[in-house]
Amino acid sequence: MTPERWQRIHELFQETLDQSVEARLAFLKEACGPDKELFEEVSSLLAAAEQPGRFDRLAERFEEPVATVPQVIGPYRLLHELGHGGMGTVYLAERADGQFEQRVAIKLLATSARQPNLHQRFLAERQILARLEHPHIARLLDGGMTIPVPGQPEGLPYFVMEYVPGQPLTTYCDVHRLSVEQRLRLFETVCTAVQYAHQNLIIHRDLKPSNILVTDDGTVKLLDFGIAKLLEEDASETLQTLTGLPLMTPEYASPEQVRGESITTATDVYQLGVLLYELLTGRRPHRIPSRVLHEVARIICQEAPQRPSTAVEQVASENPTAINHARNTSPERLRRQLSGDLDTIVLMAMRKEPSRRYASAESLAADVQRHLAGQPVLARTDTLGYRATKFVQRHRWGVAATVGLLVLLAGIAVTMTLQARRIAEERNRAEQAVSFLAGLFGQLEPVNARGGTVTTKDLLDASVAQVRHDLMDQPLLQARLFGILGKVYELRGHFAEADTLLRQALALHLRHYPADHLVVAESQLSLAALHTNQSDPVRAEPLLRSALATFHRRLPPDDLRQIYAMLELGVALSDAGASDEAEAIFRELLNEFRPVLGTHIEIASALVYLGGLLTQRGAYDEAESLLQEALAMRRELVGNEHPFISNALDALGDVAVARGMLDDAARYYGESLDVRLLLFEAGHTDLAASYFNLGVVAQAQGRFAEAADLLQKARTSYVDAFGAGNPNALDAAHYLAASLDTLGDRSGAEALWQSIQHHDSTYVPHSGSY
Amino acid sequence: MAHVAPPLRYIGKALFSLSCPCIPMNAHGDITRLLLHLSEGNDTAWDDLMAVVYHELRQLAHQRLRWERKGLTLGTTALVHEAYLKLVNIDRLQWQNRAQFFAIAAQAMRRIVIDYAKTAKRLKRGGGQRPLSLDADDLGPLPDLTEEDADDLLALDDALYKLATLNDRQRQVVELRFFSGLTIAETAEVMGVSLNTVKRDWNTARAWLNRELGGGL
Repeated sequence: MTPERWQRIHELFQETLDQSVEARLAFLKEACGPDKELFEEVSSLLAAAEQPGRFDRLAERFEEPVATVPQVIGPYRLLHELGHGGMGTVYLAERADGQFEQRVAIKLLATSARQPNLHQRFLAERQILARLEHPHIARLLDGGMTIPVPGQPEGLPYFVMEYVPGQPLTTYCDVHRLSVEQRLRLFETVCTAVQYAHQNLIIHRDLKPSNILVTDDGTVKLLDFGIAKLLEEDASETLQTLTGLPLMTPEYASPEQVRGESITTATDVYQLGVLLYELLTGRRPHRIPSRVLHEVARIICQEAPQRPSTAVEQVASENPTAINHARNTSPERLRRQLSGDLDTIVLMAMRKEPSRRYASAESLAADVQRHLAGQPVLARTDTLGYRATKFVQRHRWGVAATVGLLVLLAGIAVTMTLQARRIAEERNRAEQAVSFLAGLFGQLEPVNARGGTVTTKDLLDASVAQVRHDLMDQPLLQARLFGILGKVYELRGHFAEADTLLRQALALHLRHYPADHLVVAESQLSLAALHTNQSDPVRAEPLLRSALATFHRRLPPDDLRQIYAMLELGVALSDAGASDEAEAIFRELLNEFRPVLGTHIEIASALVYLGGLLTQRGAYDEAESLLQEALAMRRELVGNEHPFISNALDALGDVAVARGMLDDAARYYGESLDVRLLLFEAGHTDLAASYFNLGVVAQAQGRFAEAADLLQKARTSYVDAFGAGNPNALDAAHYLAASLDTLGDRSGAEALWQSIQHHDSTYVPHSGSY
Repeated sequence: MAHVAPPLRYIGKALFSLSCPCIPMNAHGDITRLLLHLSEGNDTAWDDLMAVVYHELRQLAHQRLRWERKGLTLGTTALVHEAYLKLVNIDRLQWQNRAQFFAIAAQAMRRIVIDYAKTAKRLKRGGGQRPLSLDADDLGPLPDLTEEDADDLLALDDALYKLATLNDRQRQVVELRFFSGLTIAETAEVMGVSLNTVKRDWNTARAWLNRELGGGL
């Protein structure tokens, strides 16, 4: 048979199959005409297609349908399920290669595997967790991603952990009828394990009895350190904004977790408090009948838990065996044991404000020890109260620098992701680093015998010096750290330092990677974002073009990095006056990605930028409707207290100004300022933007004294942050001078005009909507 | 500076040394490099790749098949995907390379499975006893392959050679579907042809193979 002949058979066979069953024979006869052999070939294929044959049998035998849950993961064979929850499923498994007689627990995480960085983040997290070696922490042995299967094309991350055959802490205590003292001893052990993890910069964030097992010989083992974090990060954009609640147990959630605020070591201290409460009384401090977020949040953030000694009475009436039997005591005796020290200790650990709890798991354990030893406990005194909040001013910078560096180093591995225009997210991350520091400073306080003050800037400067010096022979690590430190400087408004570091990071990356490597592109994007923030779009553009080309070539079409680069490029082009090109970029972005992403934070950003651009171009109606849409989308995604909200409000204010509707403008700008005042410290340049906008409107409405006041504030911030020659600072000076002039302050106005001339002899005021 | 950070070196080392404990680094690096070469038009890379993938799949099969509890399936799909994860530094590869990988893996898997069948037949003929150890060229302990399976597999192999002379694309569709366990959609992606083409090729080839292998059960 020739290939041509076969092709004819193939085609005719397909055509015949396309016919209805009854029509096939007639069709085939007709098509074959006198070619009997062709008819034989095709009709025998039809017969072979209609019933299962030997090939089908083989295919069934060999083409194993891959189940979503594999029988084998890496070198481990799954034996049976141990349990499952919001995080995923845990299996008992053993080495499948027979190398060791070892049983392990494998946690297969339930995550949305389409997260672009999940794999990298997971590997980074695993490296950190692998460092935890403590007799009371279940060892992390291994981890990886499962084999991709249809429907789960990226594979699922899994952790392989030491298998602990044991009971949850609370069950163990009740079954063995442990006394209060015995329970406190076990609790102390738990605290030491948590403290150890904190010293390794790992927060558990999901401490609860089912994560704390006790083996038959009475050994306590903590499970699942750091795993919650991975899931929270994974869920941060989708799940958390939908349900508001990360995947945690509401009864054990701390106020800051419910509110979505920074998680610190204090979160674990809170959960230790809840655990102690349950260990002592037999019930949890909060009863949360509803899983509706705001109800959960209200109870956890506002309701004071009953004193444990009071709770005992209630438990005694509802479930007497919980006390008589499980605690081997009487309600009255237990009440007396708890009232006083233990009440205070538990409630101190569980304070609503993280900074007013015990400064560390260790100090909580120490107080428990004091109680057991009959010594006075510290919990009653409130001197710890304000320790963490003002840490920066109160701690010596040597310790600060060291710890800062540590945190940042750990931070790379844990949180290193895209460095793009996700300002709020990055700020949040920087704040997390800072509050993590706060927690650690609490622990380190005794070291700080002498006085002295340190600012965040000092801390950063010291870290840079250390990275520069100590990592000379590790240029890639150095580059990554420069990249992170640069971004932190940028977030704190120290643009010159940020500029130096980000340029060095890029140069280092270019020395070690090809120019079109993703790492280089991310570095370019990061530096370009800074340039745009510095009002220097001309430097940003070529960087962005290059980054974008790399992203387009190297990333799958739905990778967000392309969007970041496009947004940044649009902004840069628009700032550079190329509004046609900028508009085209934004529209292209929306056309391409909006159908895919729908309600998405980056889509909202594109809408805001396009809206702003259209305002400049006079298309007010479309601008306003895009901006309203963006504002609604952002409120849905991030709530109202967020820089994204104030930015959108500003853009709406701009449209109103352009239309001459100054009252509306003042209202939008005012709302924007209200949001910013909740978010930023005085002097922040975002506040300056609000003051400037409100000042210009006030001036246009003839309220000159108010205008002068607002513009003065704006100018001061801009000059402090960027220098007097900065275009925003010059604009503020220009409008301020006009107000002062009208108010009769000729010399003040003169001085400003001269200053403007001095910095930019060709200055023309802001060419935007005013 | 008041303090130097002693943990610095430790953290730095941890960052670099803990890649994936289960992956031999050289194989990892090699295959990525080879696939990249291939995409740059370096044809000799194909043979090198074939050798690496074949070797890896064999090793995996060796480890895994021994532990299949009931020996019911060869689990070729899982093997190929696992080999892919093990061999390929995914970050550096684009889709085209991935496609090439599965094309190569399908061929390698075919060779491995056929080797199994041959060995199984030889052993069955020799009395059905499984030796405790096999010589270096053998595959180690075997999956529970019946003589019937082995015969069908050898017949399939012959039929695929024949199919290749009639329409090599259809041969590849069968290989990818049968030996690499790709779905119709994945096969279409890997081969760079339309979904419909793969569906039609598969239909015809399947019917033809059923007929060639001797029809009914």
